[in-house]
Amino acid sequence: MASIRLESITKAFGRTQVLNGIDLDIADGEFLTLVGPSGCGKSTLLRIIAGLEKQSGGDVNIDGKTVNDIRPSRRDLAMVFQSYALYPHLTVRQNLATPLQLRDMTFTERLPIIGRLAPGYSGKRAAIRDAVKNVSDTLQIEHLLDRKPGQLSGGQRQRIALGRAMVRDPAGFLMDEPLSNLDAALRVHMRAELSALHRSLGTTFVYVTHDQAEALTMSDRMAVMMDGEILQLGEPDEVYQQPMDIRVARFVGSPQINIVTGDMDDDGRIAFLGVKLARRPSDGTTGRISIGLRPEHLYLHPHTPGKTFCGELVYKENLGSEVFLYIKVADTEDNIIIRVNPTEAQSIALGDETHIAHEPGKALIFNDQGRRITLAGSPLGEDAA
Amino acid sequence: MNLSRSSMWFVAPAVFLMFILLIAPVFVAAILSFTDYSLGNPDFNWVGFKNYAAMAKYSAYKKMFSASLLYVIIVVPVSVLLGLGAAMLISSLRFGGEAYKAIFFLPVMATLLAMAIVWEFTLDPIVGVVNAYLTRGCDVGWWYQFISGAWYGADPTTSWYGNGCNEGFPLWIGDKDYALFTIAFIGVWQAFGFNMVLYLAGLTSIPRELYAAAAMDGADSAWERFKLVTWPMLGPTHVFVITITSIRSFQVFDTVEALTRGGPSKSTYMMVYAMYEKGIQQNLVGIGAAITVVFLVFVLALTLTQVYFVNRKVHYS
Amino acid sequence: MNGQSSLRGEVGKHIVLLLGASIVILPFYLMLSFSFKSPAEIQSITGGFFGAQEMMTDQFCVKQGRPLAECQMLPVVYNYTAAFREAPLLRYLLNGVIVTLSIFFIQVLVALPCAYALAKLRFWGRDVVFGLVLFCLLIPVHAIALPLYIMLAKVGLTNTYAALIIPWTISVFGIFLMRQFFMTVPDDLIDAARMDGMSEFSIVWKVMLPTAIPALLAFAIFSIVAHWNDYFWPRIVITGDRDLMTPPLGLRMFKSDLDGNEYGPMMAAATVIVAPLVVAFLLAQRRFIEGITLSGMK
Repeated sequence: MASIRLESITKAFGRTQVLNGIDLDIADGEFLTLVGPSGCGKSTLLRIIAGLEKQSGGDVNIDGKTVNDIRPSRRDLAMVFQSYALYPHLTVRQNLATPLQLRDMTFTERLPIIGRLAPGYSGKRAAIRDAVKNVSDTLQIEHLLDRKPGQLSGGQRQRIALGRAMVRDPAGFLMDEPLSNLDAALRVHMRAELSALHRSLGTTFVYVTHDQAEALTMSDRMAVMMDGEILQLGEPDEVYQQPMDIRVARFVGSPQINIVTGDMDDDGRIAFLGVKLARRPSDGTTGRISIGLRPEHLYLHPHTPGKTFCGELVYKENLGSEVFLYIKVADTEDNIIIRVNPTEAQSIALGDETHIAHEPGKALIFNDQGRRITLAGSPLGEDAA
Repeated sequence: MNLSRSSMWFVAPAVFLMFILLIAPVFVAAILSFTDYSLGNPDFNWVGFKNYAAMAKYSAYKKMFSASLLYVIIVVPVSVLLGLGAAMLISSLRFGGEAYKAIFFLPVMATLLAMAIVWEFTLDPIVGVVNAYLTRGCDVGWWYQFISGAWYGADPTTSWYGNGCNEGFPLWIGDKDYALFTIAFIGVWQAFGFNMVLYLAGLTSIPRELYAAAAMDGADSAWERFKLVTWPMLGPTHVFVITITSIRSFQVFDTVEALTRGGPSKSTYMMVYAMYEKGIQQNLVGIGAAITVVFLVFVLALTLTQVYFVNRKVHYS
Repeated sequence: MNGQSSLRGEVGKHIVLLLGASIVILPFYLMLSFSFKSPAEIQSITGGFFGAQEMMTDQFCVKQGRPLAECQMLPVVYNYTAAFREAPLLRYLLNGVIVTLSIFFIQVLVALPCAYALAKLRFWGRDVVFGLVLFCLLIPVHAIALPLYIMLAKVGLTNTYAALIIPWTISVFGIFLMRQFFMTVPDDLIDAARMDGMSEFSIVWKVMLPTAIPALLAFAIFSIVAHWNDYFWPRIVITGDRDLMTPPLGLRMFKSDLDGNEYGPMMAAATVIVAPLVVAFLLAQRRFIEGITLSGMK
């Protein structure tokens, strides 16, 4: 059991600053995901927690103790690597036993033949054998124990890597993109398995990924990182529904959120593409703004001035249960994407002019620095406008 | 068909040359080893296994085998371990690695015969730098005491260095007790840079994550990480480096021919030189061919061992 | 890991490596140094690296009856002129160039089409030929030297350029290497060339050769270094005829003829023979290391 607390962690490689003062509290037993595009510093942060990398500044606390000068192996954390990092010359059984041998057996006990003579050798050996057996039962990998990693499939290696982490019964698991080398179907399956594993073990998981879908599906909380900073930390729903930064809004959600530019008049009324909002900023900001609209919050609607905007349908992406329409709207750079059901999609053909409205209250407004602006007033008023 | 006719033209010259220049000579050597053939003689007699029996009988050939074996036994482990050590040191350096790498590789590049002559000159008992400086050192008190062991209370005259100061330093290649070791030293000097480069390539191909995993698993000391990751991951490199160094050591010729001609008292009489001396210089083709066949068997055995290891043991994925 | 202890480690490593480097470089240093110095300085081990460069008299020049003043020269000049005069060094170097380049070109001429056929053409007996190549890779050159010598002597070819070149015209390693490289060339490229109407012959030289330049360059270094430095084979087939000697063999003859204090010129000759490859190596280290360790790809 471990809670992990990071206090103003900074890291620089030479002159390149990769982490700019990260503060993070990870509760005991929590599944926390660090998510962000590649190069955002998330893997470095994980390696700092593991002790594989030394931070340039700040403290890492595990269970209230500062572990800055404690070796990786003494932090009672286990790690699952992207490439699995199994020892290719050892069998699966030996791979699983290695962390236990290194932790529990003395130098002499580990010697090839002489070790057997050491007192306590057989007891420790039996304990290690039991631990390996338990883990392989849990993960259903008994039949693989005598093979070498080279003879296993990607998914099997993934399981062995998990097993190697589990066998020490660590206080926390660190996972560095563990699913990114698997094919798409297996990845979806493993998400469910990892969630189940987390529930049954009840230990802390810190999970690094660049895939926002993994973060949304598995985590208790997710931290969206960009350019060496945590932009937003919260439950997946909250991060998705209420992104506090335009970069977070863009990163989370697939297909991407639609961003259009808008104006705010002196009165504080917001208008974009001829649509006017009823709510106004609570703090009285003015200037250029951006409006974020998720595809599922847009729908086809008969032409209504002040409420709808129009464009030309250029592409239909049919996913079977739902269809995404790509609509070219004058004055916007990217196509606007809206989600409709298949029957609605039937009624409209490529090249048609379409009119689009948004669900009241769902528009996300960002100021020119990309920070979220909260709106006051009744969203229902937007219908009337 | 047109395509297959052009294939014939493409392959035919190579196949022809392989037969004439590589395969036929092996059989010719095998046949000659059962004769008393000499170049210039119109005729020859079949002598059965007499040439091979001679190899088992005469002390010169026993010395040939023991010298070759001793040379290989010295040069292989020393140059392999030096190569590995240099590679590990260099790959862990923060700067300057490229320069050391270039310097250690120089002997591999340089014409061995020329460098052997320079070494002979360097080790010359009269004008050679090595003995000159060893002798000068005898008069430098602290150095003499340090090296001869007088500092630690030992009797300086019984030590190698103290003895050298009194009796004169070894003649190196002129002394039958030192000649083989001196030739082996030149062999190591020449070979270890090659091994170093192969080990450097082997080291860079070890995934970094494996070291991170070892650190997480509790391999805390450098020795533990070496044992768990570096050494086994270099498996394929070891096999290759050891075989190629063994084969090359068996083939040592330039230094022997130029410096010792197998002497003094056959202490450096190694196989390829013996083959050259008997078969070509003395025109005893039969015995030369017999040495060739034995040599070939040794080298093939080494190569096949390598193939076995590569296929069975060390390919992990 | 704190900075101080890792700094101490770094310094320690440099000390060990510098010690090793000084032993490795010692003969190169001495060779160069002795090629500069006068006989007296060499005998007495004085004069530092470059020697005092006091004027000395060239006895050979005096014997030729030239005026004494003309025969005074700097030791460095003396050593190098003597090297080129007493050993026909230029001739050796020229022979070296002729032999190594001829070997390399014939090797490519034979190996490239064969490698292409083995990699990309399907014909009866292909696997047998490839098996033959693999088998021949096992045969060490020292094991066939004696029979080859007998065969060459029988046809009266010893003491000719042909004797130096012919045994090396087939490089099974070259075939193997180029075949492995050609396996990675996409079939589409060859099919496209065929659609353009190229013959198989022009595909080899106009399509495959250019794509193989990097591999060929490495092989060139491998082959040229090996044969420039080779002493064993020239020693066997060239007996007596100085005009055919390659650089190492010429140097060996120079050493046999040595009359006592000609160390300076000999070291000058050694320097001249070693220098081309060493200089080329220092200029293109990566390529040379790659080329010479090619045998590591087997």
